[in-house]
Amino acid sequence: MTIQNSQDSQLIDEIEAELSQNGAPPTDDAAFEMLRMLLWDEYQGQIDQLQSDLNRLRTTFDVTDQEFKNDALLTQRISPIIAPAIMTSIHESRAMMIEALYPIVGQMVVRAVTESMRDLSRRIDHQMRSALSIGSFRTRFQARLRGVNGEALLLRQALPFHVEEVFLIHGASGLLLHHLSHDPEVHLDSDLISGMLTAIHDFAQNVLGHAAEDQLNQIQYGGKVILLEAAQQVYIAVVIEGVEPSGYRAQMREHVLEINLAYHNQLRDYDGDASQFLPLATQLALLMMAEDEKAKQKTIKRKKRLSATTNQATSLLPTPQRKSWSSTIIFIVGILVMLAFLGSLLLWQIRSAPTSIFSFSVRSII
Amino acid sequence: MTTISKKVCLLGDFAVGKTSLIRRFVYNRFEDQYLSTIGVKVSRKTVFVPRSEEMVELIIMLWDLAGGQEFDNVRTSYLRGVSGGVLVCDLCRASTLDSLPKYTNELAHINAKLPLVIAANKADLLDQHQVGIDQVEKVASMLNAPYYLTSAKQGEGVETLFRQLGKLLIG
Repeated sequence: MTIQNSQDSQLIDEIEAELSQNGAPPTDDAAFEMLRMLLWDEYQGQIDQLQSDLNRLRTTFDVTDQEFKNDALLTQRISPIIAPAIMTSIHESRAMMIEALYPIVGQMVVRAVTESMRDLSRRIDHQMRSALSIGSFRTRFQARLRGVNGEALLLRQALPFHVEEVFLIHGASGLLLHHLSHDPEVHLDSDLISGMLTAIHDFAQNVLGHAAEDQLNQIQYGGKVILLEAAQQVYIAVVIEGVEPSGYRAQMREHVLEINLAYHNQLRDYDGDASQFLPLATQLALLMMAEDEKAKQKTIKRKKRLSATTNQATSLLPTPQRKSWSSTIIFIVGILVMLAFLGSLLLWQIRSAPTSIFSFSVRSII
Repeated sequence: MTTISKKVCLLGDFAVGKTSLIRRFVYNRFEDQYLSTIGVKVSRKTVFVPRSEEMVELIIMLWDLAGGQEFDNVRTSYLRGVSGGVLVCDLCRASTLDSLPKYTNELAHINAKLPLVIAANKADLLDQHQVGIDQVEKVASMLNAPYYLTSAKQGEGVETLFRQLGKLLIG
């Protein structure tokens, strides 16, 4: 064996010195130990370093593993990179992304278009009902006297709409999160109803829904309808009587999406305590009085228009009375103008054709 | 007093007495026809359970799931959002006890740590029993769930079953 460097020779000297101090002759074991140190001492440092690295990696792995098992922590970790990753994918492989998203987006578009068409057909139906009939003229005249929009009154008569109950329901469990009723004295088993509604909803989706987006959105019985609008973790069920006005469903969807977004974590880890959803009462109440609110807003707009055009004298009167008076005055003035026109026409006939049978008969009457 | 609602599913083979258990002690509003049409009926049972220094009003929404094979597909969707399970077997039919692990697996797909209780039903029909207590104990131990001998006919053990389930749900 050749000793290659001074460090090794120094080490051998140290070992020999130690052995001679102890006074013991060098044995085979000691020689073997010396040999082992000569061979491995150089690598021992590297082994220790590797062991240290391994321990560090193991600790990192344990922490990462714990993070993977904790859904909330994992979500927190990966959510910042999801949006940029999607954007990069869309930018780099647009065609592939379109193909992947088409089944979802396509269904959403179909649904939105269907709903828009339904709204359009409702509006056309409403126009056909309201235009050019004696009844409609009478309704418009009544509406004018009452100070409301003629179309609103006609719609109200043609399509009665009344919200009876509003349920906010946890999508997965069917547990009731909040409930509002038009009549607080009527005690419905709202929690049982929300459970059964969810069961029926799940059944329909399981049996009939071929795509994840296909959902039961309406249940009808007699004159009452249950409108359902679902988001990812929560859905709203509204019991109405009559036909909902256009835009009502969009309003429901807007509310349910807002709630789903605002209460995402509470809904995901829902523990059965519904008190945390009490602040939603105000928002849900908007669905209860949606119709009244719309009518109110229309009336306000109309009042603004009228106040801008009426003169100072009539503006001193209270608004409903003023409208009633102005309508009556317009009606009387109209009749007077018409009578004056007929009278002048008659006089003109008499003067221009004195020998006609018509003028003769008029003269004889006079 | 805090009020908490939990969804609990009753699972078990056909005619083990799930609906009878519910019918006896639970508030019903809907007809049993729902079971045969859509495979589920929802009922409610309210129990009061102590928690630390207060009493909790626990509203257990019981989903009675039809046991027949025809509802195997829909049953999975009814298990979504479940917080606990009542596994029901009939002491007069040994096969109903053997089915319990199958239902436990279905629940484990939703959540592996769900609180479960076993109702060994028809305890009153002693002369027709095919299943011994030791067998029920063995299955209960395997599924890591407490068991209760119940009789929907006489009311034995049912209240205790739901009370214990309530403690597990709140605890």
